[in-house]
Amino acid sequence: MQLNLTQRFIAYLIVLGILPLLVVGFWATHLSNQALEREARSSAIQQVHDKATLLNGQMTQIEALIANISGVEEIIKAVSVEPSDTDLFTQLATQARIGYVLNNYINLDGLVSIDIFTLGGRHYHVGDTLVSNNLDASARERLIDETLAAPGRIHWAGIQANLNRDSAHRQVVVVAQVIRRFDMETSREIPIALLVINYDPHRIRREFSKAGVSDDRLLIVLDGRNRLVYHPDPARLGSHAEPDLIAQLAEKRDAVAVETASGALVSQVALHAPEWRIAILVPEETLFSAAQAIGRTTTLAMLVSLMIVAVGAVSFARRIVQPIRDVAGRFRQLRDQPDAVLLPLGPRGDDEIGNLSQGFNAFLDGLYARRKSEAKLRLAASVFSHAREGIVITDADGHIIEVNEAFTRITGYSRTEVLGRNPSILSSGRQDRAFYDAMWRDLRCPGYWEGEVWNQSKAGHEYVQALAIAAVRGNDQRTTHYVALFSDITRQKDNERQLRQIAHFDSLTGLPNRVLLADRLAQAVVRVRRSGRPLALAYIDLDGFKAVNDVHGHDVGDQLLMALASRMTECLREGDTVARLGGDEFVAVLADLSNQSAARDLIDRLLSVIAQPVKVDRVVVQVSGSIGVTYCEQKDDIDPDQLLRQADQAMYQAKVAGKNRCHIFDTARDAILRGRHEHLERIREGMLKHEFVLHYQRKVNMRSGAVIGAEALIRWQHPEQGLLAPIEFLPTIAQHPLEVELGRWVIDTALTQIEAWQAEGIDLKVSVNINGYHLHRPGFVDELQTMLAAHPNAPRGYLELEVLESSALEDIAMVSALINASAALGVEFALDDFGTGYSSLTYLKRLPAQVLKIDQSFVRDMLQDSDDLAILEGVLGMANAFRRRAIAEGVETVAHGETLLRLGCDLGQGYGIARPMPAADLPAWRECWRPDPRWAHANCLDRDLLPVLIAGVEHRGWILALGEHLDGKRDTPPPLDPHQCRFGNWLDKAKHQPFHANTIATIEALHLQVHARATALLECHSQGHDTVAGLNDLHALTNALLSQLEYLLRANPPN
Amino acid sequence: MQPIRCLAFLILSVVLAGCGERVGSEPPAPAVAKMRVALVMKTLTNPFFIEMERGARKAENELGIELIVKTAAQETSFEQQVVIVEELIHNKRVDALVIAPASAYHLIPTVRKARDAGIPVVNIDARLDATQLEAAGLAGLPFISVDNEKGAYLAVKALTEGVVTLTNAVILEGVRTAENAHARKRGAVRAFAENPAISVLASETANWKIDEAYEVTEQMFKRHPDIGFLFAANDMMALGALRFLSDNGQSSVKVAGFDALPELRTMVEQGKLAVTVDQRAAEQGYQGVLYAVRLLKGEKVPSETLLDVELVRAPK
Repeated sequence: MQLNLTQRFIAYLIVLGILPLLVVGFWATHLSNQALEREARSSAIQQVHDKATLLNGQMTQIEALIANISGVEEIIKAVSVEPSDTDLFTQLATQARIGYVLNNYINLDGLVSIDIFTLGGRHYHVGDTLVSNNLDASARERLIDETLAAPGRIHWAGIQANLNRDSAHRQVVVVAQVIRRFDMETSREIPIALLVINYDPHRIRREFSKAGVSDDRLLIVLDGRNRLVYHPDPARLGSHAEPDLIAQLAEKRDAVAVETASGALVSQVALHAPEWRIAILVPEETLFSAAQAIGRTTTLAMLVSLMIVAVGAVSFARRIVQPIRDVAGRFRQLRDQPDAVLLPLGPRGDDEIGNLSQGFNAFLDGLYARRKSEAKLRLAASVFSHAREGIVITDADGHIIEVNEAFTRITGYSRTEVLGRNPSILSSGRQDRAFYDAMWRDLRCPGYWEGEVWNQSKAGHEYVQALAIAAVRGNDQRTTHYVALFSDITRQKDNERQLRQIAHFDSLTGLPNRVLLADRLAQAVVRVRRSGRPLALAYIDLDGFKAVNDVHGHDVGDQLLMALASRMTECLREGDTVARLGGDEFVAVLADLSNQSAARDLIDRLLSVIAQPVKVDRVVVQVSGSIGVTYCEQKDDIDPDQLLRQADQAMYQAKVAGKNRCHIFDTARDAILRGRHEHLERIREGMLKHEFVLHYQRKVNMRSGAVIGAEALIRWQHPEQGLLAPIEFLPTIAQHPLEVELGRWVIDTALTQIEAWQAEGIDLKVSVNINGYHLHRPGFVDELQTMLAAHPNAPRGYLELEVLESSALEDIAMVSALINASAALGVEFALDDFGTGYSSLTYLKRLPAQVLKIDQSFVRDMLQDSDDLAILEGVLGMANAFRRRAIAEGVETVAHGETLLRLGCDLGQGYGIARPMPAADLPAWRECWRPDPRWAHANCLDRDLLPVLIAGVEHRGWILALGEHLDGKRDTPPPLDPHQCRFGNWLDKAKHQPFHANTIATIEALHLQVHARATALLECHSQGHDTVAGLNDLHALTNALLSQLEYLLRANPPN
Repeated sequence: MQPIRCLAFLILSVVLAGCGERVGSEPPAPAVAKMRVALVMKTLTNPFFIEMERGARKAENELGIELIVKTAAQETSFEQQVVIVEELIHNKRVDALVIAPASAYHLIPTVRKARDAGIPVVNIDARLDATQLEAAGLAGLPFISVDNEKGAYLAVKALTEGVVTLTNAVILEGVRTAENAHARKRGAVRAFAENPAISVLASETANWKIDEAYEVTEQMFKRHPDIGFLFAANDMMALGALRFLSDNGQSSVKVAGFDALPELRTMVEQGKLAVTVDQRAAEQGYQGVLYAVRLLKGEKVPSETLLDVELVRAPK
């Protein structure tokens, strides 16, 4: 049978380790058995002797005590006297005397009590208790009799019940002696009392327990009556020993150590007291228990040894055998399957076994590496022989040492023909010396060359090959071999050339196509930038070519195109490009011009050659050309595509203009158009991005202070340019659909605002400007209705539309219909900038607009310009006559407002009241704004006082004109004659009216002074003197004069 | 190497464990220990102490404890008492002590030792000196007794009741170092003094002893033949005195005792003894053990317990 390593190891362990151990264990057990038995016997004998000695000592002490007490004369004397029962004194005195004596003896350890019983019946007692009157009288009598009858003087009565029933010591060892008195008369000893010592058997127990006897042995002490004076079980004290035990002891009396019939070992010794014995019994099982324990221990040790062997074996198997088995198993596997892939062994620590595993793993790694490199080699060999490329391997000197099949296929040389020869046999001689020098330079460093080489085959024909050569270097960096890879790319080269032709040239005409054109144009544009010489791009479209195709067929058409192509190419300069875009469209790139006009000749030549008839087969066909031209100057930042588009546009213009001509592209116009377009796009974008906002300018009743509404004014919150006024963007979108879109947005936003204000409790009408283009769009009213319906929370009548007077006048019938239709929707109309148009009373009558907004130009100048004041007055009169509300725009100062009020115009708007502001600011403004107090006193003037008002304006105008003259802004001064100026005219008339004559006189005087001072000032001015002081005086005078006029205006009117 | 070392250790320890195994077995478990209280008394010759032990035994039975009774030989054997108590402390024989001291002073260091050994002590019968107790750090040591002065006072009062003719009296004192001896003398002297017809001629000690009392009485009568009243501080001395009186035909002398021993009660009934005081020896013993057990259980006991005295006198 073949054992494996583990089994063999275990077998060795058993044979070498366990068997000797077994033999030794068995022998040791046997020997120790004998020794222990001997030891048990001798120890039993020793113990029984020891205990006997101890007990005998105590007995001797007790006997000595008895002898002492019984000999004390005082006691003999005391007990000799028998006091009568009534003689209490004698009783107590005797008791005391005896007590004093006995008390000296009571200290013997284990002594329970000392009693003296007189034969007369007295009892003296010392000991554990004072109480002693509860005596067992019969027992006492028995004891007295026994003692008297006993052979020796001292009677060992043995263990029995305590005579004193009051004592806690129920069982005592009783020793007694008779006290005798020597009777002189008879010369005899007469017994007079009994001395009794009660000894505590537990005292013996305590003594024995000090040097204890082990529990498996039985130690007993028997008194003369075979009562147990000592037994390990305290309950057994005083009782009789078991008869069979007594029999066993009796059997071998006085034997020192014998084996009884039951197999126990008995050892007994007689004690000092007669008939007393002490014995020790050792049962058989105790005798051999120690030996058995050794046997058990040995067995246990054996088992443990076995376990250790087992553990060792397992550990051995795991730590040593298993790794070896693993290695062996893997080797076996490798032998059976040479290609098997095995897992490496796990880590095994650093010992020999670990080294074995590591070694095996290293072997495995090496094996895999070898396999991998073999596979690589096989692959390389396969690549070498099957490669489509020819491969040549030479040694360092350039001698061919290997070629592959492709080499033979490409060059025609077989392997044997070329081995050992130099590759130069393939050379065609096309490459010069320098070419090969460069190649060798590269091969030396960096050791690699790649390129195309013309070579010659064995058959003698040349071919181009793509060649790559690499120097193979050894570990010492010296070249050992060269490897060259090459493929015949002759056909590939041809294909490339053809493809290039197709890609860049028109197949019909052979002219460059669109692709090549783009390339050349781009280069030309770059040249323009560099050289500064302009470029002209001519876009040519044949006129009537389609007809040729239709009439004569495509072949003719094609031939025509070919003929024209060659003509055009011929008529241009060398370096100019004519390309065919497709169909009948051509482009000529005329570069490197001295100036723009230089192109003109070339263009004309083109027009001319195109227009000449062409004979195709037997047909003569003729077409013409429309040419669009655009220039590219150095300054132009323009890309080729843009140039092409511009030329195309110009060509289109030429077609439109009548064909057979050329049109030059107009760059300036294009820029304008493009600018507007961009602006429009930006505005559209702004709308999409919600960049437009509405600001609101309040309209008030200047007299009452009531806010009657707000005009919505559009603003553009431009992200870069800030807040833009309408003038910045409205002109751009004029007449454009965007204008309508913006108009709609404004109406919608205004309605939304009305709703918002209503929600905030702000009751405000909003007017919106509508341009004519929007207004005249069909469906305006429907649109308006839809928008109103979309804002149900905007109350009826809160939206007002303002339309320019000029717009309204374009189509009065239509506009008035619109106004009426809108009025039905609750939307009122206002005529904006009223007065600037050519409105006639008839028109006004036909336009049912409810509000006239007086243009701010009249209002602004009315304080200085009496004509404007007159117009204003006229407009107000007209509004009054047609029962329209008039509202003044451009109220810029308090004075404006005051004058307007005097003229009877209560309503106004302008910077003097409120600037346009965001809707959010309006509530705060409403809280704060109060009409100027002066306005409250500006009553509507009586018509008679109007001339006074006008006169004031005249005078201001005069003063203004004077100032302008002095500043050089006006050529002629105002009339210097006080009667020639318009104020003078009024004054002259006023003097003759019965009207505040005194004031008039004052005014006249002031007026004269003003004129005089003005005359002087002009003289001063003409002489070049400073006029500032004079002018100040003049203003002071004027103010004085105007305040007098003011007085007149506020005074009661004349009559 | 490590596994081999481990193996060696394992084998060694198993072998050693085997050797260490003992063939014997455990020592026997001790029986449930009873509390052990020692009653230490003055003498075994005075029936008073037999009574005291009886009371203590009653407590022993009731409480299920073990009572050890120790006495000195004579009333004066306080040194023996010290030895007894010290032996008990030294050998750890007891858990608590009840002591009827023979001297007010000599036992105090011993009591201190007991206290230091963790053994509670109850003082009965004769009181240990309060000042010295305090000095020894034993103030408040539990004490059970009777009001000795009151007992003596009442006894003498009863003895001299209604006496108007001039009469002489003598006193037999107890051991002079005993506090109760002092108290009884004080009580007797006070009671005698309260009767102007009576003069105390002598006050001698007979150390509580019956035979010494006989002799001291003899001497006093020699010196003062005309004595009408005798107060003995205990019954034993009264008995000794009475014996002298009867031996010498002095039957007219009226004697008072203290302790009410059973034998003396009979004599009171017979008219031989005028009066004696029952100081309830059994009760003192009983209460003493009771207190000791309560102290062992960690309970508190009063520092002074005085039992009522009772006069034993002939019926009128």
